[in-house]
Amino acid sequence: MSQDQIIALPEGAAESPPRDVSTGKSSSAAGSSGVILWLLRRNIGQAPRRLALEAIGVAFPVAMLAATLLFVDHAVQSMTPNALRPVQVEMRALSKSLDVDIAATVAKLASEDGVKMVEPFAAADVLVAPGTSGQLTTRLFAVSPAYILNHPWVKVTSGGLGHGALLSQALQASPGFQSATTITISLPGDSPPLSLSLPVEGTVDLREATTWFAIPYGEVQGDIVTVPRAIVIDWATYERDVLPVLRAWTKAGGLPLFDPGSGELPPSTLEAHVTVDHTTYPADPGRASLWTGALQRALGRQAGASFIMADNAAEVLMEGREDSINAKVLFLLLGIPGVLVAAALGLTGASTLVEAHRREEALLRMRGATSGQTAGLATAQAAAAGIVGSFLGLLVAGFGVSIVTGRPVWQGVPPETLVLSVLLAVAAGAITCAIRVIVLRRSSRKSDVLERRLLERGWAPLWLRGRLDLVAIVVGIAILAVNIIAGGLRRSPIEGTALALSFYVLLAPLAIWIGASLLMIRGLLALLSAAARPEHNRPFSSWRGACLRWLGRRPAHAARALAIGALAVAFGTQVLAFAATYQAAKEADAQAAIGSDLRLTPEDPRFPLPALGSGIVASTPIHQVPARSDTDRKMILAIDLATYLATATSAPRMLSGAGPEALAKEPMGVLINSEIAESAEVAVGDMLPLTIFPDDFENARDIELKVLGVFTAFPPTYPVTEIVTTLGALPRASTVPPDFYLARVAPGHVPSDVAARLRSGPSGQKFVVSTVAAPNERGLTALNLAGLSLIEAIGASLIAAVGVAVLGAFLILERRRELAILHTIGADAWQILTGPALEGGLVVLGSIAIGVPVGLGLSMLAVRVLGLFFALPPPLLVVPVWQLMALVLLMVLASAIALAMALTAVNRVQPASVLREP
Amino acid sequence: MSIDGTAAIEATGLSRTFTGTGHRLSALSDVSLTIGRGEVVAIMGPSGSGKSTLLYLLGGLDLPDAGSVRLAGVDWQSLEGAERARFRRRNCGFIVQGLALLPQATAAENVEVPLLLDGVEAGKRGQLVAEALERVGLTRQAAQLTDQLSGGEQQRVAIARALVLEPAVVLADEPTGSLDSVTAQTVTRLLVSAARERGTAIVLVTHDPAVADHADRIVSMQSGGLL
Repeated sequence: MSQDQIIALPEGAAESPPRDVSTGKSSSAAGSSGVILWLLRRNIGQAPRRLALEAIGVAFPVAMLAATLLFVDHAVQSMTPNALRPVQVEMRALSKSLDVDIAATVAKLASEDGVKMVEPFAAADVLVAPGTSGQLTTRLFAVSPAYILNHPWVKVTSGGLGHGALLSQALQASPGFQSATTITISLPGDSPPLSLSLPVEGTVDLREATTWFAIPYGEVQGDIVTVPRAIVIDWATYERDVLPVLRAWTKAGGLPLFDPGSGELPPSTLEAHVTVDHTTYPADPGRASLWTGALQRALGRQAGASFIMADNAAEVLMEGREDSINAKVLFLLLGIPGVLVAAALGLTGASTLVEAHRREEALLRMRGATSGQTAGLATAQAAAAGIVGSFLGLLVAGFGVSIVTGRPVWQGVPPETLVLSVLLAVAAGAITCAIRVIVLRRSSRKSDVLERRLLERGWAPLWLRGRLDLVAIVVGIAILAVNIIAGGLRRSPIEGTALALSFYVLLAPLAIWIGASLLMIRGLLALLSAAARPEHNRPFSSWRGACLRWLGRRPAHAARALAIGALAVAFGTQVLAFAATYQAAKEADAQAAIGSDLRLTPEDPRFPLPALGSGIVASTPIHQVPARSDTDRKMILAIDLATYLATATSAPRMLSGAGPEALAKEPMGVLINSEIAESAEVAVGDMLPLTIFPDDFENARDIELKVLGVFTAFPPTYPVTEIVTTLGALPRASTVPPDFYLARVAPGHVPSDVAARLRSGPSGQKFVVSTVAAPNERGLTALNLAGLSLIEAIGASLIAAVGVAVLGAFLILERRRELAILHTIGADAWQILTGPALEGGLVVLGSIAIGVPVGLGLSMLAVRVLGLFFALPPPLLVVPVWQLMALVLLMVLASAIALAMALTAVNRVQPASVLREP
Repeated sequence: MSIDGTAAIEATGLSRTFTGTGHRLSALSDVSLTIGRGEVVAIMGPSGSGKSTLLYLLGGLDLPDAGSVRLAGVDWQSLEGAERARFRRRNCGFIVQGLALLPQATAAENVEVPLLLDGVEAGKRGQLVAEALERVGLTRQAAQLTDQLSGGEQQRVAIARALVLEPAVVLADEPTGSLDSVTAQTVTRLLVSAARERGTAIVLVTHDPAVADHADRIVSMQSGGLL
């Protein structure tokens, strides 16, 4: 932008002065507004590039904040579906008695909005015999054949459900049942007589049907009871032959009524399983949490007083709500630095217009404009730039987020959420505009001489004088210190899964980002200043040396651009490195979830592990042994220590005590997770009393194991490992088949290739071979930061480049006379361009030299703070070399273009016309 | 008038017109002027008479719409880019109106710049700068930044800078415009005597008759032409 264009307005105004301005008298509000609008129209018409420059200054912060908020909106929308994914049946209507019309209840519940289907379900403890003798205690489940079709987690492994019975694999393996073609069902104790003979129609795998074995209600709702044997019969058969007997038994007082506070499976239960359409839940888990509560109450009213409604979705949605809040904090704290540096860019850009504004205002005052009119014009100009800039920023943000998320930003986001995000982003633009107006007004009151001196020498901005860099670092360190002393950066048993991000903790990286970047700029300025002291009075080493020395004497513009560039590059680097480390931690969690390179789960627990071939170097059986600690049901991971240590690819995350190696020295030792340590109040060295196989009356046994260590995560982490011991400590466990096997591939082999080979071989028929297990992801660790990091990194590069462009604008606007003097001295074009090019180059290189290490340091810090969310300790830092190189390259290229444009404009300076200027 | 057969400046038929939005302004019309080596010429005239325009054309900072300027026998229009800059550096010292110095540089550095741009070796530069500042009486102010110097001192630095490469011509545009009359006389005397020592021609644009009195010849201008 040339000086001529910038001052076009007052010249135009001078040619055709508005009536109110020329009179110099106070005018009415309407008249004053008219004058301001007239001047504004003239200004925009004659200097459109000035409006464009101002609008871009607003567009950047608006775009950065809008992109962050829109990305948050998008990410949060996926949290409800993620949270609901593991829920098998959302609501269970639990009958308090057996004397209810379950069919009528099913019909009433099905009429409720949002309900996808309602199915009858019953369970009871029965005795099952393959003939007339050899009864075994067994859990009976009664569902319709359609239920099995609707719920794939009930796996019929052979045959199908007709009017007979499906045997669980464990029951089918029991003595006498292997070849049984019929079974006889009876009731235990003093029940009325029941002798129901049913044909055996097949086998069923109920290992994934956790809902059927979960405590349905009360304090321990959701705890899984591992019953050893089960059968599944048809609902109609149950209703016709079993239910009447159970009702009679209840009436006789032999069968207790359903106890909602019990920590055991009810001996008999009659339920309606309600499947809720996931699409009807609000996408935001916070709202979904409220919505599911309302649905629970509505269904409870429909079912009537005879039923208790258990909401299986409530807990996961509550967790989802916490995670969505954490995700918002995380995203905002990742994005806020970008907004701040973009706003700083906008303000720095505005300062290029100070000189033009001062001249314009002086000319208007000469024409009789009042202070109110000049202030009104400045405000109107800022408002026009704000409107255009906000629109532009929102457009860019919406477009960018749509591209990286692969769908329009408005899709799936509630309108009120979208409007709030837009309003917040526009507010950021409005604040930037307001500060710009204040800066311009204050600058216009300063004299030229004072301003020139401030700009040319003795530059000491507020942050330098107020030692903002040191203050920010001290604040950041203080926050971290308080947090470390309070144990905030260590995983403690108390936090468990209820870990929450503290907003103030995440302010530490923000403070250190500003402090460290500015401190390094302070250091660089001090070096330049020391080398540029006039009293040294020594000849220049070269023309470049002369330009560098002079830069040290008037570093204001370069330092401003350097501050913007360094902060932007640090921000971009931090986001990229954090996202890469976050991704690596997610992958490590996924690896820990499976426990090794491969997991082989037998279709039938009785299948022996075949030879796995040359691609596998080690394998180990994993037994999951049900246990009870006090009243809580737990699962013991019983390992074969030697093969486990050779097979596991991830180390456990120990909180205290020894790791798994210690189990070799102490055969009756145990490792426990931090929650058990907390709830059972046991520590390393204590004895932990346990009941193994607590729900298998024939095999239940009390044991005591010595606690050797406390862990927060022990691979395999899916399903969650609670207690770890060796098979040697649990001889009974060795008699049952392993639940699954882990296998480690040989060096040089790719797990997915080996898995594919195994799947295509004989073992593929009998084993599910998996390379990735779904880790127990909280919503936060399930977030995909790649899209946001891409947007933020591109934004950071452009901010840094525009900072260089602003520097170029300063050079063109303020050093015109100096450039003309150099022409008169006989400097050629290259010599004239050396200074500006050197300043621009120094800003670009300095931004990279300061920004990259600061950004990497910050991401290490941020990873430590957020590392608590991962099962395993995240890596110290993953440096995404190629992405960082792309960031730097983009910044350098964009800066080079900006600098080249500025240098071209410098080269076009006509010395004769500049020297004629007063 | 040429001293040794070649004029320091030979301007022939110079015309210069400026065009603005809807305006055409003839700043200079068919001006011819010859200045001999070592000659001191003052150009006087009212504001807008074309004095500065003529000076910039003589110094090759601007090009005429018609006519030509030969400085030390070389036509400005025959030179391009770096060659023109180098020729100006070695043959033409400028003292511009108002702030004539580089504000970020010390007095010594301002004088050193033409030497540095011309590739003079560092040791020689130091010596030449010291001599130039001594000649204008500013040895003690060498390490001072320009805004720490008085107006008269600044103009003396500008003179030292204009003469340090011993050019054929010094072109000075109102060199005393912002100085009081006593200082103006001192500065003018210094400029003229220093130039005469080297046989350097001076073209001096001024409003001040007292300054013009130092010239060998006074050329008057009005409305873009010589009187």
